[in-house]
Amino acid sequence: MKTLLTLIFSLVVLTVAAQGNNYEAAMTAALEKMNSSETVANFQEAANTFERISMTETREWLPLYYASYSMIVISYIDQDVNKKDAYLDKAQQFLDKALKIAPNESELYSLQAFLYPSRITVDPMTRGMEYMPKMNAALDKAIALNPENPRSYYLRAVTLFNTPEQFGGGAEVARPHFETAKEKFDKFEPKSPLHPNWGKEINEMEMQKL
Amino acid sequence: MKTLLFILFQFLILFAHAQVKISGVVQSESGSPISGVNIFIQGTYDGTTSDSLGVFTFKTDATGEQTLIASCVGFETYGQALNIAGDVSDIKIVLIEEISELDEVIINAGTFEASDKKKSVVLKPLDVALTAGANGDIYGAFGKLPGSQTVGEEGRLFVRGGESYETKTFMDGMLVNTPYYSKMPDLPTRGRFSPILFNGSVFSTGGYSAEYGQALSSIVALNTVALEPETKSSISVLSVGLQGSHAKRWENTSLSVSGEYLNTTLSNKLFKQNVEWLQEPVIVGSTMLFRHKTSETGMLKSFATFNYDTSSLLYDNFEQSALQEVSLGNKNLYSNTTYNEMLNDDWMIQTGAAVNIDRENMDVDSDEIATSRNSSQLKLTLSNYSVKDVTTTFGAEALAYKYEQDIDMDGNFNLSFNNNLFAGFAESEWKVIKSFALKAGLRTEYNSLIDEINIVPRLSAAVKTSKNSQLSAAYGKFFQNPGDDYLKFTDELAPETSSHSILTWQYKKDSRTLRIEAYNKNYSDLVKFDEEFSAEPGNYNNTGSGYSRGIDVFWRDQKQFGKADYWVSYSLIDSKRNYRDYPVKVTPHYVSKHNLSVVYKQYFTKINSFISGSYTFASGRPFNNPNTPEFMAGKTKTYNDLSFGFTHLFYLFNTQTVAHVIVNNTLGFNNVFGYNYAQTPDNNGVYQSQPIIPGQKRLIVFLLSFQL
Repeated sequence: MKTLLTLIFSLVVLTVAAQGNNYEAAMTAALEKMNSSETVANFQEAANTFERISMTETREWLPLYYASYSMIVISYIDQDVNKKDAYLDKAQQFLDKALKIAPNESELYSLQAFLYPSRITVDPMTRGMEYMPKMNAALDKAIALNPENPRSYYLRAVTLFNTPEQFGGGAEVARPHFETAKEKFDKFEPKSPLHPNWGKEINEMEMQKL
Repeated sequence: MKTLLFILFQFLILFAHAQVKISGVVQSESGSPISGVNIFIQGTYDGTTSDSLGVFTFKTDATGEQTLIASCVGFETYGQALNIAGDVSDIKIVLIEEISELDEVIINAGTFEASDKKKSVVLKPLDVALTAGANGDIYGAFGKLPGSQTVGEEGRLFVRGGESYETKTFMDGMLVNTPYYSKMPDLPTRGRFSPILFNGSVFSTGGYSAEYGQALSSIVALNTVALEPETKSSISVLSVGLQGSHAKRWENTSLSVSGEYLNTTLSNKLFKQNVEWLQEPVIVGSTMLFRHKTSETGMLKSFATFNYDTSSLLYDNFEQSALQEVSLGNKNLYSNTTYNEMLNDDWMIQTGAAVNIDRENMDVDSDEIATSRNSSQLKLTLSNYSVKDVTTTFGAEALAYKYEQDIDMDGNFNLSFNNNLFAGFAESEWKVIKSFALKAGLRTEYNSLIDEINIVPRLSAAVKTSKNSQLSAAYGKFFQNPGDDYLKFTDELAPETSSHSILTWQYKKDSRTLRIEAYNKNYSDLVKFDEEFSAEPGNYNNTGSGYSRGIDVFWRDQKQFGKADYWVSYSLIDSKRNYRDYPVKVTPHYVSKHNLSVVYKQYFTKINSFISGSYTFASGRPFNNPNTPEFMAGKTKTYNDLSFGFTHLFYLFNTQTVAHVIVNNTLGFNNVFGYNYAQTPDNNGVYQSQPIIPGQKRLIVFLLSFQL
């Protein structure tokens, strides 16, 4: 009888816990999948998974964040200029939804700043003039909302680094931004294992190119 | 105990409930597999992504009536009811390709559009600004598109056998009555507006919307930029002057001001002039743009520009065998304010007011002609979107025009007239199915001066002939009041009329566009007269007529950034008319049968430089040789021009700098636009002639611009 009761009790606990953890477990699995992704197909899979989670968890901005992030990464990987805008339109849709849920989330503005340069690569002559100011505005907002978010500094640094000196970029201009980013990354603690925590390694890799 | 067991049993069922397997395949309408599709049970996390063969398999806990969703970039999202009692296999999902903006059917007969936003267009606003040989002039750039004629001594747009006055310019929907600077005889003029003011433009060579009237041949519709992206300043030093601008951006408001001083004295010394300048051309101008975003969808725009130009030269008037001192002075103010807003989901309002004041003084020796042209316009347009796939636009406008000319030439004469024009239009565009669209409109106009009401139809349609090609057609009737030079003498004239029929086939795939357009244009009621400049009203009548027909071809291959980008445009035209004092129907002097332009652009990332080149060819133009009995039977030699532009971006004194050089007629072709003949024969009974040639053989302009 005692055994039976214990059994029942543990089953109840397990079930309840399992339901509460469903979101976390699914997100954790999806994040693992995303972090090990390399190809367009991998990232598409990850984006799809996050999209599915986002449709059920309509009050969470994180699934939308990662769905958007994956689509942006795809737009950088896929060399076909004619497809980039379609990926980015999708990424922007996710991001817009996320901003409705968490309008003051610094990470979302950082992500917006990660999206714009990809738009520019489609047609730099025409789009540079339009999207560079937009990107800077997004980064300013991201920093204002959370000065400790290291990704804002990294994105500014890498953009300046890849901008020709003639347009006000270059290694020397970018260096202090990379250094600030490094400081911020070293101190950064994500709110939870599910919160954005990317960029530290790539920041250091980019710094070695300086 | 029994209860307990029962509960336990329940839990066991819950846990033991086996997940079921859902599997199938996703295909496109043509049967090819689609990979990367997100397939899932609505309301659950359960789902997967289709593989490269379109195959999907996933497990779910869900049971009973569920909805299976399939979504993928580029396809319409698909949903199907699914009753899950056990494994479900062999689901076949067919996704319908989403008609993206690129593949959408677009009514484009007669229209070239440049835009940043729309992906369906064949031109970018930068194409307009950076076309070699266009000298940064909007009309110069459109002159390299099919349908326009090369008329070197004019600098204005001549479209499909039409005269330059048959093309009207609109800014944000408002009429610009005097879009060109004033013009010296036999020398080209240029547009007053800098192409960088606009982020979208439409050049229509015929069949345009009922929104536009009072243009027989063509319209140029320019859209000014919305909010300035950021606060910035720039100063430019040119070999022909100075320019400066400052833009200030607030959250929802921006203001930009610019000024310029252009003086060709230095340039004219460097490049030998075929003109004897008494006073080199000077232009002083300033422009102001104010923008305020009134709401998510509302925008208030205010634009004002003032410029003054003056020049004086010794004109060899061969007709009258006299050297004349011609001086020109022009003051021009143009201002418009427009307001657009979505009133609700169904209605959009566009309103505007515009004022144009133009004063021109032309002195020929001791004769003085002062001309004043004032126009003001009000316009209101409402667009309705309440019916799915249908856009209906209604509009009304009022245009007051006052013309006054004082002539001091063997006595004082005053010629003036007023005309008030009221117009209304309605137009509806219906996307019948995804691959077929129709547009029909009506325009009605009333002119107080000639006291006449007209109603004209405008029709157009387009049908997709394959994923990458479409056929578009347009028909329209157009009215335009006779020119000021006739109306100032008589109000007994009727508007001139034309009708356009256009058929366009366009193929567009990835970076390549091919457009072939055939058209037929008929003119009637053109103004005829016995004697030019006669003050006798009975001298003028509306018995002139003419036609234009031809084929325009446009090919563009616009590779991605850093690769070669070029376009070729070719126009074949057959056009004749009997108007003015023509004795018979002939091809007028501004029409050449063949026109060809090749425009090339490339950005070289390594050297941060943009290089553009253009070659323009036009076959000989007719001219009238009084030594031959046949009217307008002479033909000039062909026109050739090879021009280059070079733009280099670099840092100078820690400031972002743009260096820009343009070279026109690099190879120094000796182009001849026509001939002026003496009015009376010489002693041998021969009418002597003199060729009309460009003001200079080659022109090089340097520009250094600092972005502060």
